[in-house]
Amino acid sequence: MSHDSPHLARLRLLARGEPEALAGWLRQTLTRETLLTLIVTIIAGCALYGFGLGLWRAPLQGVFVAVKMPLLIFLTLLVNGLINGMLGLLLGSGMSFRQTVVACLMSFAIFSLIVGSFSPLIILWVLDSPPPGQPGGAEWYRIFLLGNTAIIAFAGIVANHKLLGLIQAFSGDAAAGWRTLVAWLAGNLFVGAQLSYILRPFFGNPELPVQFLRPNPLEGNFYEAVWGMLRASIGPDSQVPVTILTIMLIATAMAAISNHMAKQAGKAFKPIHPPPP
Amino acid sequence: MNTESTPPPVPASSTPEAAKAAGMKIEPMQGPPTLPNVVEALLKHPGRLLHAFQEGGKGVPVKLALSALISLSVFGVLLGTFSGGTQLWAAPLKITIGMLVAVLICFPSLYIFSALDGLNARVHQIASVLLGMVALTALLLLGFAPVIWVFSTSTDSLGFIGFLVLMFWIIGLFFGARLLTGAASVIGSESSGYLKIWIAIFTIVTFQMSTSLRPLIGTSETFLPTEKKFFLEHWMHHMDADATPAVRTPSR
Repeated sequence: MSHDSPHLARLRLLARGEPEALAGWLRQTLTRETLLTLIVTIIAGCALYGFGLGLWRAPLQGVFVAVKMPLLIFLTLLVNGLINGMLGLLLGSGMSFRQTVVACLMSFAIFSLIVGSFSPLIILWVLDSPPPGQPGGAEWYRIFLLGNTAIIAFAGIVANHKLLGLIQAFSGDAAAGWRTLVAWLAGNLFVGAQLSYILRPFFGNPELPVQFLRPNPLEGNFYEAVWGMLRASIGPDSQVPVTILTIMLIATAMAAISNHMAKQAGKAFKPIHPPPP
Repeated sequence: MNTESTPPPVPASSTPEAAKAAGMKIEPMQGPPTLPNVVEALLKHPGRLLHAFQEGGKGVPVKLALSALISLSVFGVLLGTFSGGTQLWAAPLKITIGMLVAVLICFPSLYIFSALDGLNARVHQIASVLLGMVALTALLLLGFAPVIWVFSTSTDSLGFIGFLVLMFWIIGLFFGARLLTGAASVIGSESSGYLKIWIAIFTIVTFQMSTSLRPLIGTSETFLPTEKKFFLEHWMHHMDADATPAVRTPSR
């Protein structure tokens, strides 16, 4: 028999991420405790992980990133909340605006649990590394960037997989789950990339000073910066072929997603654990 | 007997199969047609709006028009923050007027094209469905407005913001068009080929309207343009102007 507190029980439910259980949780009336669990989980998980990210550059940078990482998630939810709610309703998720926000919070809480669980590892890894400016520091920094990119990607994939299961279980429609997830994911990635650009630095370039935000954080945007770097790196002669290739790749990816959705259309979501009669 | 004076009966309700195929369940509105109820029905239960259109009351169409007006105005104000100054009131005014003019000049062709698709509906029904399409498009633009605001505070590129607004406009129109074709099939349309052509025409008209009423983004010495341009020519001009070789490398 379990003697966990309600908060721990909810955390275990999140970590297990069973679609039917999460959908059942979502259908319940939203309480302050539920909201608190999700928000505290996001703050704690992302703050711990963020501290580890910035720690190598300087402890103060670690504190800055610990504040900025949860902030990034909440700002993304705030900016996209309205459109996510509308798209959820239009694409057949069956969720109200409140349920959409809570579902997204659940997904981000799962992400935070995963990255938060990696934070002791990251902190120890940093403490056992050559500091900035020392021999081997630059090589180590590159490996650190790569390792953390892999961790964030892994946590993102797992959290979105759980979110997909949750939407499918809630709506009872596999295709509606895919449609809604793709729409939310596209919006959150699009806005999240820009907000992370505004809130940079996260990793903390060793050649730049320790700062909460870079000077003029609202100058320029993520996509213009990427486009500018791409243009500079490929040269003027290759711009047209690279642009066409990029458009073709995006079109192919969209066609593949659309094809997958078409195959899923009409299929009812099959629960792994059927609810008791 | 003059049979021409008695029009054929308008289908009172759709077949359940058509309604199911279009994902719409025709049922009465839950509660009075207040603005929140109408907006909820527009997003979640469009079949309730169709039921209200068939009933012929004015409450729902008026609320839809109000919703569209508010949504386009708020979207316009947030778009106006990109340039500030007079654009804070000029952009919402131009967007609202542009949409109204586009709807008015495209409505006759919608009525004819829907008839070509085999739809046997009254003018007020078609007008109400068109109003629903515009209200849904406007509502989605309102949903995208915070995203526009985030980017408008951090870029000076007219081309980038223009492209972003264009994408959001197309997404909004896509869902609006989906509502239109779905509603048409529920009311009794036999096909949707002509309606799809009309949707393409309406989309092009709204693009041209944004050029005829320019600038919606950016600044100008005059409220309206002094030079007439086709929208593609206008877009190309701005893309060329924006293609400066300046490269900004972000600091991590």
